[in-house]
Amino acid sequence: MEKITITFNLNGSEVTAQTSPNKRLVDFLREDMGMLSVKEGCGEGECGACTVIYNGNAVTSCLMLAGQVNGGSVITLEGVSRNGELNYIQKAFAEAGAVQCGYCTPGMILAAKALLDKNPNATNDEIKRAMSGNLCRCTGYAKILKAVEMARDTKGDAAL
Amino acid sequence: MKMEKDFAVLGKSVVKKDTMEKVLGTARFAADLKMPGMLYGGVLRSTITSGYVKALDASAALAMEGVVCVLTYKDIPGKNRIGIIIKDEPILVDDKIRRYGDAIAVVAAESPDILEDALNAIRVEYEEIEPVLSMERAAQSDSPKVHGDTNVHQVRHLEHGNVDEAFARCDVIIENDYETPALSHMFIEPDAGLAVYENGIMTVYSSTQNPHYDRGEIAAMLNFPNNRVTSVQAATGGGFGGKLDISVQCHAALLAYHTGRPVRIVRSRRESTMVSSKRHAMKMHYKTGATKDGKILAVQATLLSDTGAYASYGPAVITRAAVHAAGPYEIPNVRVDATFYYTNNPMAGAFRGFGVPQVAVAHEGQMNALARALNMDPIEIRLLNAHRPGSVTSTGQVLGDDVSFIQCLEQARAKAREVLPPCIPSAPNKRRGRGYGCMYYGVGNTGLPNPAGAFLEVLPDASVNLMVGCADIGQGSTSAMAQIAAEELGLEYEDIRVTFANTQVTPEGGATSASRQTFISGSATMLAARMAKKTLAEVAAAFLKVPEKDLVFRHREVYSASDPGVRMTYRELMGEMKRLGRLALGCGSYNPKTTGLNPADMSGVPFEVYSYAATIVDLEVDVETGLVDVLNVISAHDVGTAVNRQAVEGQIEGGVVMGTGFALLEKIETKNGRITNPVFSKYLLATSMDAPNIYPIVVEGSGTAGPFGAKGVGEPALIPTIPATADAVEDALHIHFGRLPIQHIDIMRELYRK
Repeated sequence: MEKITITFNLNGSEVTAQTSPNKRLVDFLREDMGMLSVKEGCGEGECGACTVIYNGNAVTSCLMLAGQVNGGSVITLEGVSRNGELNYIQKAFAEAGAVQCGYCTPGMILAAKALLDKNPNATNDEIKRAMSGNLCRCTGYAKILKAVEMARDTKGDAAL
Repeated sequence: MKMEKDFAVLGKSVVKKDTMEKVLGTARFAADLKMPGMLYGGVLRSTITSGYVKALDASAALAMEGVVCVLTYKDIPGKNRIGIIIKDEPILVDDKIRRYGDAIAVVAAESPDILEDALNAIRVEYEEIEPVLSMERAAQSDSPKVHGDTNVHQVRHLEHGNVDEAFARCDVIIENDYETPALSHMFIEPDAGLAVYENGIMTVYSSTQNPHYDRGEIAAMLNFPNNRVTSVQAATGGGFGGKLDISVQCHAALLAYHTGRPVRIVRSRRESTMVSSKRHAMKMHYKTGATKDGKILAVQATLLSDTGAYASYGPAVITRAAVHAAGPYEIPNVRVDATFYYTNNPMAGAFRGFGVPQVAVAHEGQMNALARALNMDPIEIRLLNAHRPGSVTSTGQVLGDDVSFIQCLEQARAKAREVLPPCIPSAPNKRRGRGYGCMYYGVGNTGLPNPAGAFLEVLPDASVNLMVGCADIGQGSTSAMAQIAAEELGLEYEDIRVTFANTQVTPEGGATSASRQTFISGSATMLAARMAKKTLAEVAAAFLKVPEKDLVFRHREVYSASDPGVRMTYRELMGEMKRLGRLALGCGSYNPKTTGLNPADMSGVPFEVYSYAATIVDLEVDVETGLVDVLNVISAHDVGTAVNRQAVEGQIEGGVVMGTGFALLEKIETKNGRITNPVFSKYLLATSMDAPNIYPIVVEGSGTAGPFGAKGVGEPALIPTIPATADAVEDALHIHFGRLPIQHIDIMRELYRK
């Protein structure tokens, strides 16, 4: 199959790459871009483990083709921390004990970031709703929701 | 009564050791592993449920560029049977297909796309035989036999006291049927693994709950000694019992063995759900008799279950279900008859609770029915019958000092009074209900040896390498082990680095199952630390010129209890160790103190300790849609000692939401033995929108067994919410649902009927 060339912003850097027109974004990010924080849990857009932020919105990368991000911007968990320093949402997840197996965690943090970037004062109900596209089988969501609430409350100027 | 425990490290909430890499996204799960020259492995699975492979033609696949090999059972050099208890499952089908999705061949290819094309190009000719799809059919004499000459897989009989005589003395007798569905673990990470065969050593990294078991199965398949197989747990994205069986380990190892190249297998969600084990669906009939004052005199239970095509953990589930069938109550007369059948349905195995969640639905359903029949308070009737220290269980075991069930009931009740609003619906179309559920749960394997070990070394700078076999699947055992070692050594949590679940360097850990790791691996860790500490104490005592038994090790210091001014830092102690040429090494192993169960009546001491719990659920039902909104859940758990309080709460919260899902949402559906809802769009899990307010209550007792009195909470966390949720729906609607899940369609049907 003939390759296509795409140019997009990945975690703050412009990237130009060749890919197959039928390659899913999740595979492109994991295999070609080395973004291994992007997890696949179902391949049908139901679990949210493969969530990335595309043009400011949380999307499931298993339901997108790599070619669709041409000209756009993609953030994965690798782009959320800087030099191994946790950002305020990651810090809140750690402090709240929101991480058990950790497989849903990258998607959860990105869903929270997409929300709080747009709506830094999101209500608890808005948080619950924004996180509802991401499944977690371990935590019962309690500490995940608490972490996002903590992140909202502590963001301030110190936030990355 | 909460015992005050003066711990330096234990009992605090610590950030789990794996948290940093998981919030950074740098934790490496098996599907993330990649090696130079790596091949992609996959499995050709049967598209029939029962029958034979008449012919297999892989020539078209082998002719494809990029297909490296296609292997069948003929390519297995050693043993082609696996299974944790009974080795009845072929790695690759040789004699007979017993379920939809049985593995027939494995393929290795240069890319995932080529692999998929190759699997599609293999032609299989089948000869079908009648599949056995129900227990009723399995029991008939003319049914095809799935294994051997009978479809009866396991039978258990428990007899305690004199049930028949006791029923004659009862004022009230409650008799009901209960039914619970097959369920899927739906861990978010599908099974995956990578096998590397190099210099005669087979190394398999995988998503697993029991790397030491995996090692044995891989070695037997290859005819290797155990020490030529290294089994390493990769970061594991949830298990809940579903990653206790062999998944990709043997298939990947077989491909790596034959190709000499690293081979990775990653299951799709569909494949993972289709072939990993399921929770045993159970049909239960209960008869419970009590005096008019609410004292239960007798319980008689019949348990029937379909273990599917392979044994997996079936023998453990039936034993544990029978032992726990009467619930956490002192009942002098108990009879349980349990029968599990082989069928051609999906394999049932371990799933968080090993049959106890199923029987809890029944014994708590009976308890709530009894409270209603006698017009008694649901907590009071439980307090009247509850296990206490010294109570006798239905296996005749006399309980020790580590039972805090009464405290669970009382603290749950007090919390309900504090936080729950009046039980009034929020709208005219809503009905509100309160439900109650309890459980007890034996920690460790039922009446069987199940040891675990630990190695430990205190390094020259007073940091520690701890090596434990136990797999951490996110619940936090690694961190609990670090806390236990730090507490015993008198160091800090941060001083302990834990290497875990790597058979090359860690001793046997046994399965991360049965809520056993904190208790068993934790005890082994404590003993390993104690051995190293013995050497350290000799040296410190000589240096400080105080008797060994007078020494206190705490917060990186060693000092005299009688004269705390006489002290040295741990670093100074390690300097002295170095000067003397001594090493601070420790090893420990622990096997719970149990007895085997008498096969005639199941009497004996199946567990050293039991965890207890009491849960109250507050919910609303919309009578126009049948939708249930779980509002508040209070769940009190006797864990002995909470090692990492935040992690204990996390277990309880996760268990609560899984429990509401069990009661209201989840169910595996099959057609002709094939699962028809193996994906999240058809098998619904609770989302954050469904999560109630959860009030976890950690009850600590005064027991002395286990590491600093710690028991287990992983499975107990789930169990009581299930019956409590069902009871709350019944309370709201005044309709008895003996069959779970209670989906909105079931509610509408019953409301319509009413």
